[in-house]
Amino acid sequence: MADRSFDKRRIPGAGLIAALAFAVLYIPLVILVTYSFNAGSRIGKWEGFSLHWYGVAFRNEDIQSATLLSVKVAVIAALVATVCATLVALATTRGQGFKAGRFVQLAVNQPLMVPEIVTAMALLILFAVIKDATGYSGTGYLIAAHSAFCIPFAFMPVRARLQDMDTNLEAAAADLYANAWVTFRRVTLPLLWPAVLAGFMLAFVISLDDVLISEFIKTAGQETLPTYLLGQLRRGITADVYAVSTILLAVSTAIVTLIFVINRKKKPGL
Amino acid sequence: MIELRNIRKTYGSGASAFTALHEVDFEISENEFFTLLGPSGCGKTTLLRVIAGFETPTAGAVLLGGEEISLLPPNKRPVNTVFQNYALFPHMTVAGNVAFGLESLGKPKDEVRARVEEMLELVQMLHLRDRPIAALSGGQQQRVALARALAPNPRILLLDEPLSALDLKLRKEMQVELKRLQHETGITFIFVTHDQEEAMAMSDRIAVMKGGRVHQIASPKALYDRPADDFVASFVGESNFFPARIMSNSDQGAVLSIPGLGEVTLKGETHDTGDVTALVRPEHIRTGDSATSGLILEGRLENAMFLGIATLATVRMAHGQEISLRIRNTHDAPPPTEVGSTITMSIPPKAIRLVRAVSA
Repeated sequence: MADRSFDKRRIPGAGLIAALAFAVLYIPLVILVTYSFNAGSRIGKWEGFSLHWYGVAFRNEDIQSATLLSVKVAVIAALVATVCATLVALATTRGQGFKAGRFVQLAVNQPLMVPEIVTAMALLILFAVIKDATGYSGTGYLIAAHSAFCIPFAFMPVRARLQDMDTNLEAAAADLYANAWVTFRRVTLPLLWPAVLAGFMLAFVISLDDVLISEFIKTAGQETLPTYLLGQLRRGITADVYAVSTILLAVSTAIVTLIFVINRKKKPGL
Repeated sequence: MIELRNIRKTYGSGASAFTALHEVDFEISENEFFTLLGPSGCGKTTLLRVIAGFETPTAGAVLLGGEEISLLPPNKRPVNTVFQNYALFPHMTVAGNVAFGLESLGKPKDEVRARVEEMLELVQMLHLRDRPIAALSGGQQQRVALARALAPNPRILLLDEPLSALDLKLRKEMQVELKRLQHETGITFIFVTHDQEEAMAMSDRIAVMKGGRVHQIASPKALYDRPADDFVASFVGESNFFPARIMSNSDQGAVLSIPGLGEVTLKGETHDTGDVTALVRPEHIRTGDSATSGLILEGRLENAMFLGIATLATVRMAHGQEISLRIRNTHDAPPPTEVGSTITMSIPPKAIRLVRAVSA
């Protein structure tokens, strides 16, 4: 009886509120996905199922190059962010006598706390100075910016895993004559691997999705997928944009699901 | 073989400083089964970690075979540990765990394989060599942890309450098993426990610790018979303590007066006159027909607990003090059971020990 009185389902109206929340969350997505398969081009007028707009999107060279740039930036940025995040996580959770550990953890999470528009402005100024001094105007700026704001996302799962991990395992390795490097390679890293992978994928999705910072610091002619889509909106929507959005949605969902599966499967035995 | 020289360990500094070990100083010899015994927070695990190299002593030195090792990291010490929660590598098989130390030492593959087999045979786990760790029971994990720590043939094996997670029956089995392993390998074992029975059953010598200090180091028998102070006496076995006084010393021995109980001569002993604490073990007090010599006392039975081979009784004296008795149950002398009845007891002078009073 006691636990029944805490049953959330018995709170009046809870079900209705939940249903409303789900509706608000998912109805727009359902509409978007549905109309990406529309044979016609007008929203609100269903003219039959077709993959026509996917074909249009795939043949569009602007979309092709934007996708290529987005993926390139996301892969490199996620890689850089994951390596940095893992090193910081190791230093703050394992570094003996690392007094500034808590401060560093907060500092690493800075991109989560500073408004993104401020970060974008700051980067814009910094990169303008560098550009003036060096004349360089390649994709390096995008990659550097994405690497920076992806670090906290890669950091979160790695740090959580390191904090959960029994430090006696590393002590046992040291006790069994393993030096610091062998301990890391044979004990810490194999146990940390799923979290590192999750961190990488999370960073990848975040980078792929970013529009604000990219829009500020991209140089003329550079378009990532999100900035391309934004540009299209200004010109009036064609339905190939829905198709691209649907594919982005599918990729993100797949990666997030994968992160979930990887981290759940490896839980026992910790 | 291993010498601990005035080890002190202090954590923190200033007002928040906490000293976990105070001037710990003793030696452990080759092939000894040595136990660090004490309640939680007594510093026994800290001392073990100092020997393993996980902690650096604030002052003092650790010497192994005459050489100072205080500042060597754990991976440079010929000392292996069985951790309290075993700390087996979950991503490796049984054999992979046991091979780890040998591989770190860079032993050739053939030698590693042979040694792993030998060790798993020793702990009767050879048939489970390819199992993942998660598939093992607690007792099996315990055996793997032992094999893993013994495989590199350390000079000292450290065991940090390794039996505390096992149920009673398995614990008893592992006690016998550990004694056998120590005998067969000839390695010095340093065992940490808070369980005095476990310590008594297995050890050659026991160091009783409290508050970061070693109170006494002795064989189990000597510890029980001649405890140095009231803390050791009450931690190892059951005790009755009596505030008492040495009145004088004569040719016969020291005259001890216990208020409420009477006077008795401790034959052949000499002590400084003054206040002392007298210790009498509950099983050394005689009752009934055999209560004929020494201090003869009468009291009222407060309660009696039948335990099979013995009856545990509490008797209240006229002056209010309670005395615990452990009366052996024999076929011809039924133990007293009636609460409120009068019990005649005697304390033989030889059963009386004088101990230092350190517990408040």
